[in-house]
Amino acid sequence: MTETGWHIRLGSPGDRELLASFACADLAVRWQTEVEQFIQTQLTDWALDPHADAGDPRLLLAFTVAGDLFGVAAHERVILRAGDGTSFPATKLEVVGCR
Amino acid sequence: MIAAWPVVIRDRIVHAFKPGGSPASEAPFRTLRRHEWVSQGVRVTLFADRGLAGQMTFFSSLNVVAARLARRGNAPAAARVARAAADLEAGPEFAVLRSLLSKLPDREAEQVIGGLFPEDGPAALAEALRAVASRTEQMRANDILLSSPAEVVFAGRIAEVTNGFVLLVQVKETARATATMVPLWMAGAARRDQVGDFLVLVADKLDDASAVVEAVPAIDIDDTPEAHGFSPFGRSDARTRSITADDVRLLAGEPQSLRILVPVTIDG
Repeated sequence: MTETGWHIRLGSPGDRELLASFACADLAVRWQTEVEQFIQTQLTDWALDPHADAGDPRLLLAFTVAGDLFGVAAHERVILRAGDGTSFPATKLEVVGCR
Repeated sequence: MIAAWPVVIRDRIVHAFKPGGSPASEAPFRTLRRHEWVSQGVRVTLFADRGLAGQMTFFSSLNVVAARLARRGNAPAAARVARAAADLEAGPEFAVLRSLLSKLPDREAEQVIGGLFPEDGPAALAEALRAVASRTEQMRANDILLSSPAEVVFAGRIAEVTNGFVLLVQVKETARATATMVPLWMAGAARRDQVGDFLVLVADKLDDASAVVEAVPAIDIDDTPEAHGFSPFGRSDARTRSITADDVRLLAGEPQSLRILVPVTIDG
């Protein structure tokens, strides 16, 4: 059997440099560029903000078997609210990036 | 949109760094400067009845955030926000504001930095303040460090003044506005104690059970959310957690477990 598949682990403070070089955008598409810039410059702060514990923020990194980072995702728990006052707990995807 | 007053004097920054100490202390500010947790600020010449009345340095309000981050022990973030403040202070909006402040008589520039707009002040000055506030809010929206849950902001308009309190009604996009009572002396210290005035409360978390609540003068930057540059990232903007009635119908029901399909190759 050949070794294939993904390796997924939680992000940590030591991943800041790795994420800073993570490219996933078609630079001609503005929203993709915004996502890439957020991942490169702010995602670590978002995920590791100690004051965000209540939302249980998670940063997940996906690697190839060779150890190359190819995917980034982050989510946290939030309370979503509608204009009529309806609210409920949910898991909100903060960002997803894939090269 | 209601925004906190975008410029501050040194004392506000020191107070954010050392909430219990004297805001006029030199040592805390020197510490902030030495570590580059505060920008250099912008110097403006003051005039009085008989000519020059000295100089004053004012700062981008982002330095207050940088000082709080430094207090919480997040030195890299403090330095980064201070650099953002320096970028703002080097920008065209600050240059226009500085020029207009230098033309004000009778030390009025100090009052403006403190949040008080002169009754007969020039329209260009109000516009310059709005431009600086708008630019500051753009930077807040685009930087995750500036929307930490450690700081809760309540921006509103004073609807009533009574019995030693003002009633501050939140200004928000949805119809369901909330309100809070603020001691009159706090509103007065922020120079916002009249019906119709804009005021911001910032709850600066100290630990799980306590916070420093600061009353900050505010300004209506009269800007649409779209023009203001909404960012889907960040936690402080309620719009990131706001959904429509259609969304509610779509999302109703029992949540299903998340499934991730992983490709697996099986050799024959």
